[in-house]
Amino acid sequence: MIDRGRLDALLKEVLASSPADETELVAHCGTNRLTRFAGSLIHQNVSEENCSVTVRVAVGKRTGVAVTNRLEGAALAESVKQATEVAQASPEDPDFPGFRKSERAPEADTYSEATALMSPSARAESVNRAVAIAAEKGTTLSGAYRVSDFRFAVMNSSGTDQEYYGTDAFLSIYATDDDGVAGAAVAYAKGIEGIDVETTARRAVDKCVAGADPVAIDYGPLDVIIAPKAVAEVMSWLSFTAFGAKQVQEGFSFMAGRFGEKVMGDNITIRDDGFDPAGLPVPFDYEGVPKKPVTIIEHGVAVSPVYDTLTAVKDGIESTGHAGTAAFRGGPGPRNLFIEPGDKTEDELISMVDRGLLVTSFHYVNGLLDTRKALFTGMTRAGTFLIEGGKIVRPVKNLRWTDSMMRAFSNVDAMTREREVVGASWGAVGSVTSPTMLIRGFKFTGATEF
Amino acid sequence: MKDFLKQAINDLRQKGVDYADARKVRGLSETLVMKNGTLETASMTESDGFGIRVLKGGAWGFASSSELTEEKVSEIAQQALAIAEASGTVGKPGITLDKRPPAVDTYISGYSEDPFEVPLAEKIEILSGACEGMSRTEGVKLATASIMNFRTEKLFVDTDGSSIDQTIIEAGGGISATAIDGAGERQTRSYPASFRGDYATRGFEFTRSLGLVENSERIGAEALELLNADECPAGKTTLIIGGTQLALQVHESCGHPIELDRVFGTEASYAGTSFLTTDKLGSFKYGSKVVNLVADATCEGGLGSFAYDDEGVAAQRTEIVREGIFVGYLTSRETAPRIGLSSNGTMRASGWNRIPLVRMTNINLMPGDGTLEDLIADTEDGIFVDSNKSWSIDQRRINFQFGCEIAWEIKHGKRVRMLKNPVYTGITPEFWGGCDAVTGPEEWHIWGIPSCGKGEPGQAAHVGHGVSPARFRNVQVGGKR
Repeated sequence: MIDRGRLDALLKEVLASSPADETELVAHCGTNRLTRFAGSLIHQNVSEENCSVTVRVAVGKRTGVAVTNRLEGAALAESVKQATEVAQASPEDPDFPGFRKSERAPEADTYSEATALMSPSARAESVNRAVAIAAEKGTTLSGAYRVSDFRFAVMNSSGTDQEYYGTDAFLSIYATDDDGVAGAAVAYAKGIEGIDVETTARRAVDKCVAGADPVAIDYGPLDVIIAPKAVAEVMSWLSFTAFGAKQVQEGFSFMAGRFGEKVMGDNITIRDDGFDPAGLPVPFDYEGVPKKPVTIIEHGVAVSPVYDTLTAVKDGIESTGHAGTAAFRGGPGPRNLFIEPGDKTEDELISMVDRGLLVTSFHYVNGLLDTRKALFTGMTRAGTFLIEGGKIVRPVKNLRWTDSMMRAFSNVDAMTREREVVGASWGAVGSVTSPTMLIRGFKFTGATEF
Repeated sequence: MKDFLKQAINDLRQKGVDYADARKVRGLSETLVMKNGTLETASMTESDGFGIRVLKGGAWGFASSSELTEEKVSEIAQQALAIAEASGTVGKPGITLDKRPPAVDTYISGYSEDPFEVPLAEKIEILSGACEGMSRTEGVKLATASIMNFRTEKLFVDTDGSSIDQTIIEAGGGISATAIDGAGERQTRSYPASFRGDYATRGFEFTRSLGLVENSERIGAEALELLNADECPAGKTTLIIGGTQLALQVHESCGHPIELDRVFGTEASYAGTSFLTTDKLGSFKYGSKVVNLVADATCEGGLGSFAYDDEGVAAQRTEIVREGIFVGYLTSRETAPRIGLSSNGTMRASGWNRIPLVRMTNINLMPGDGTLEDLIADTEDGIFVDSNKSWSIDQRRINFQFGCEIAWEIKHGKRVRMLKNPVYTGITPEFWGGCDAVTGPEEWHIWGIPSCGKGEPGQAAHVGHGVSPARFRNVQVGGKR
């Protein structure tokens, strides 16, 4: 792959020779390696090395974007020319604020060399260790072990010049028995040092074994304890539908018109902090703006969405450093989300439930039913258990739920003090750090056959 | 580049691999999104590179790079081999492929007007006209129009002697109007389908044929009308489903569960498995007698049409459900032999940096008789829904729930009032078992969905669904309790 010195020289040369009034270059170069397994065998095992540059230019208040991974010869300069032609043919965007100079982002702990160097045989060896644990209990495994390393750089004609090196590692393990009953567990970290293969495998296998012979139960409103993986799936959707300023400005978000109002319970505080090492730090955004901490919900009150430059200018404030790629303007979004924890253990939460469910994860969550009410639906998956009299009494078949997340997060009775970092569903890098939650009266609306 | 790839494949053959293939793929896409007259997104994206897949000792390895040099091709081939060898250290994989004759061919998909040759100003004029048309209705706060074009150039070579060049051109677009009232309630109407419209393996002539400008004023007015409509009542009822929503219903409840790799558990930890297990093939009652489904990669213009899949297998038409009985899967060279069949050519990768997976082609519900208006006239009491708003289905594809943009109440064979926020839910075989009428060829259209997700790392496939509106009895609409 193109080395750092050559790429930097190329970017600077292209920036200097751009025919546009303003130019921004965003380079993402790196490798992704992923080992997938099913039936306790590796069935897919892949590696990718790529380097792409997103060129955004402005001609007056007209903008154009071109993305390319062809970096040889004059290919990148050709992309700048192409973006300029797009800009020249486009109508003016009266709100376009120009590309601004950002101060150098502070250093963040984002890189693990061992992760960048992890070999396919090391990943296979990890899978072998997990498979052996599963075999002891008569279960088989599927899942994935992914490692990535990358360099992310942003330069613009106003003088912004940012770069960082990052890695991440993700392990998902899904244990199944002969009847297809499943248990799931995931681990996500900056690097492989933070991935405990054996513990993750045991958690999945234990859930699977405990889930044998599930029974159907009648559905309706039930108290539910949801694990961090399930919370993260909801938060990923809220990041897409609600927490960004574009969604607020367009009236799509449940928070639009409700800032300063109570939208969730007193015990719910949600914030994004690109530099908090408890999650996965991301020092700056696709415009090169350093991340600022943003409190989105504080003690149940809607406080602020996250901003990029365009949405910030519309609201008369500064960007919080949450811009997404210019290739598709979906608006800003959080990348390192935190839910403030409670003071209980998971066992204490279980003891607080007279009749309800313990849910390991959700499947196919959809947050588009009514975004103004944050009305979501989804299924339970891979470990759903009935609680009666403060104790787990039996596994149950999976259920559909349909509920407003404003309502659900207003009915959180207690949370664990311990939190987990879960990889967010949206984007290559992004995490949600969440406790386990006890929600009263969660609306279950349907059932399936397993 | 073809010579470098052929050399790498030859080298791998010399090293005793079971099989190897190499693909070079250059993808070009243009995305234009206008909102309220401002061009929010105007981007051209090019992604060029190659990937080499190796089967050694019954185990797979794949490596890919965007660097198109002879040295890199050789290095990536070695990486793919090393990865395959690592895969073989876990259990006893034993993967074998079916036999098929090598193919040497060149294919260019049909189009009249290359969408990348149409001046940008002309595309912007369409988007502007559509935004203006929607905004004529007071109360429409967001008028969005989009156009997307794709050009994919693929080169495929393998150790069996195949050498295939394919160029595929795809185009389409859509519009949506959102009306918002003083209390913040919002309703969106889309045309011709929600989530950025309809797409086809055709040129810009397809985008022109959509009539985005011509339909824009109607769509704006419908958005406002929808805002003031009554809530869709809950209860068990007769449901007529329009084409755009029925396409997604087929996609989620038929298309995904017939992917044979999924049936064998390769997506178990992520997208899920399937209730259509192999013991059901040939006997399971998937739907009523009027339900006939085919997977057809040969449909002219379908977004899931091509000449060869990414294993070099020729595009085919396969029966999936015949008069309600489940009779076929989407298969690959690896999965088909496990049920005694040969691949029906559905392995596709979203780019040079992804391995091919079993993907939907055009999964089509074959037409019955009559028009939509005939069907409504024949319905005493029911709800007609269309245009998808939300979708969710369990990991075996049994329990589903869909939200739609719009509904109309039907009484005594007539649409009597518009309804908002319709949601329906069901159990897949019960639901298709309740299908008692499918409208005829005059209503049939292949809807193109350019964003079917599957796999890790994620892949978005372009797929099609030919459907005509159909009627389903005893469907739960709205919440049950």
